[in-house]
Amino acid sequence: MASFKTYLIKRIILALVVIYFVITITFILSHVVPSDPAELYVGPKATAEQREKAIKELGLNQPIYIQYLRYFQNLVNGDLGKSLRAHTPVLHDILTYLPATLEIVVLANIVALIVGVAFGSYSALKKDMLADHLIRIVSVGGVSIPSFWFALITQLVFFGILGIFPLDSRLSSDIQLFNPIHTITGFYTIDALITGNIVALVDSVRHIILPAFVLATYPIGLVTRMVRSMMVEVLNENYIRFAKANGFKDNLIYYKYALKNALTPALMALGLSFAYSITGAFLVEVIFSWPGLGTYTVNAILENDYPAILGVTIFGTIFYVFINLFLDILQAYLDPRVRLQ
Amino acid sequence: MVEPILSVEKLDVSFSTFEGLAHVLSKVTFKINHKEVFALVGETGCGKTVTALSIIKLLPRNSYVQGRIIFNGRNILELKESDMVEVRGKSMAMILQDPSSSLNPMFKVGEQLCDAITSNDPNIKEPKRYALELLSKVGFKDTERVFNSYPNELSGGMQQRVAISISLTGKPTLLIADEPTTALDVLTQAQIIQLLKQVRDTYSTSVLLITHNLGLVATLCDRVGIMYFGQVVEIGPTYDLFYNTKHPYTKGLLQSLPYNKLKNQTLPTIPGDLPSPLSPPSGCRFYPRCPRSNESCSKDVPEILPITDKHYVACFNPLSGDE
Ligand SMILES: Nc1ncnc2c1ncn2[C@@H]1O[C@H](COP(=O)(O)OP(=O)(O)OP(=O)(O)O)[C@@H](O)[C@H]1O
Ligand SMILES: [Mg+2]
Repeated sequence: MASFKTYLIKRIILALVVIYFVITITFILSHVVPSDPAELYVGPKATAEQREKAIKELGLNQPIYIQYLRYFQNLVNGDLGKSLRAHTPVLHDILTYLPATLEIVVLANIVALIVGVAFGSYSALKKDMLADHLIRIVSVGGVSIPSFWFALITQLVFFGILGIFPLDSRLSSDIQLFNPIHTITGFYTIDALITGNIVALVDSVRHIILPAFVLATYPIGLVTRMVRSMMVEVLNENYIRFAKANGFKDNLIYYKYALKNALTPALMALGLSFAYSITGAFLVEVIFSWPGLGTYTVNAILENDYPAILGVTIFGTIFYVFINLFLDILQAYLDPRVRLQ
Repeated sequence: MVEPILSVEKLDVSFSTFEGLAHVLSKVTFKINHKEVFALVGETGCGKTVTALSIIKLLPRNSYVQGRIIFNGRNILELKESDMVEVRGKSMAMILQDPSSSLNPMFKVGEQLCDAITSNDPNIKEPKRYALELLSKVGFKDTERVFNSYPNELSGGMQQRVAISISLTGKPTLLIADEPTTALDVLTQAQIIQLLKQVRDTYSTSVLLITHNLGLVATLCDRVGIMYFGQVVEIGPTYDLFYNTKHPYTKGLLQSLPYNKLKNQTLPTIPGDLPSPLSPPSGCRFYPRCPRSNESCSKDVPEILPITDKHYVACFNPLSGDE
């Protein structure tokens, strides 16, 4: 058990080192990229005086190491700088846009976990039979279909032809006017549910289905393939043969003994796809006019808003690193071989 | 005469492989009586594990099986999988060669044992108490600690004892032990053998012991079947087989035992190599390597026939008593 503790400490130190390097790189980038932050900050029509003031305000007149240290100091205090466009604190922006993204990404990954595990284990149990082949075709499709194309197709079919789901955005405008959602968590569906706003709940669910479904296709394919191949491997293990030979119930063998062994790697893959989607979901967000972090990032890039881009980068890195750390701990918790080594 | 508990009759097993059909077992015939320990002995690759898996009906999908396996009066080969589930663990159980891979590494010993108990006997009200009882039966002192251990925390010998306790949950009448001691050190081997003896005596279980350890056979077994390349060539009481050997292959096998080295200096081996199961020789499968073969050996397959009351041999020119 002691060695697990040292392993954990090592992993945390490693995570901090990664974060440190990413922050340093973003700092360097923000100083070598050939543009004038002060100019961007005050706009093209500003006077020389205003520029001077901005340079002071941004600390650009100080020696580089002081700027570097101040950069860190600010980060530790949760200050990611101010957006050049809106002059709002970047962290505040990120936290405003984050819930919208988390809402679809979390939903998509829960769906992916359930569907992927069901498909994957069924496919493995029916190896080389028709059901297995069908599921394998679907899962290859899931990982290889370009998400923007699939997003457009679902809009065409479910909005354009069938007309059963709305085209885009998080909420219909009339609902926003007459039954506005009181924000608690920032997750519209959950907020509407807690506040008992049934009309808005139904509307927000109708809006979230298509983007969440499109976002789920990749992790569904991923988890299905992962669970299937792990499960096929596990079913050939000696301990499965031993359990069968000694009369263990089939349900126990398949859905307890084999699945738990097959699940861990699938959870790891899902966790990484989840962390990636926090900023990587922008194609889907843009197509569905979903006001999430991806959309925010794309706008920041289009407008050369460096503090915003770097802020998102740092935030994304920290998120990714911590998800990774969490996954390692989860794996150790699930697999005694890791925990006890 | 009392019916044997298990009777394997002319069992043929072949596998479809990429290179063609591999004829692994050919007319394997033997029986096991009540409360008897029967050993199946033969070289690596001769088909011992395949025989065991045929009996418990867990052969891989690419196999073709013919013949009859009568267990408790029913032909196993005709049973549906749903009936077979009621046989495995309850009246027939099996332990494997490698104890370190027999137990699922993700679950505690106690959980696996309790799952076996509830699977095999749903009437047991306190599975944990029964589990601890079984653990002490297989020789553990600190049963509570073993119950709460993961398999990786136990030694090979302990793992094999846990495996044996799992196989005993349904009080089987036949226990198949496929090389239960091969992966263990000598001292632990002795413990496991002792334990198997004890199981036979307390549970009146018949045991099919698969091994290539003839020392194990001598200490534990009532009768022995010798296998060569997918055929059972000689069956008899342990003593007869050792001291009144009839089949030339059995004789070669006994002569190549390491303890003969003291007398002979060099270890005699059987000349030639194992043929391929893809194209087995016609007639007796041993004739290409047999010092006593003659023409008829290559033409006809010798059937396994009684030479005395209890001693069977499949050979056209068996050794006589004084050879
Ligand atoms: N699924 C399979 N497909 C094809 N051939 C197989 C299969 N299983 C076993 N065989 C072949 O059957 C033969 C007998 O194998 P088996 O495992 O029964 O040997 P064994 O007597 O148990 O040997 P060992 O002492 O090494 O355990 C081998 O030649 C092996 O290659
Ligand atoms: Mg074997």
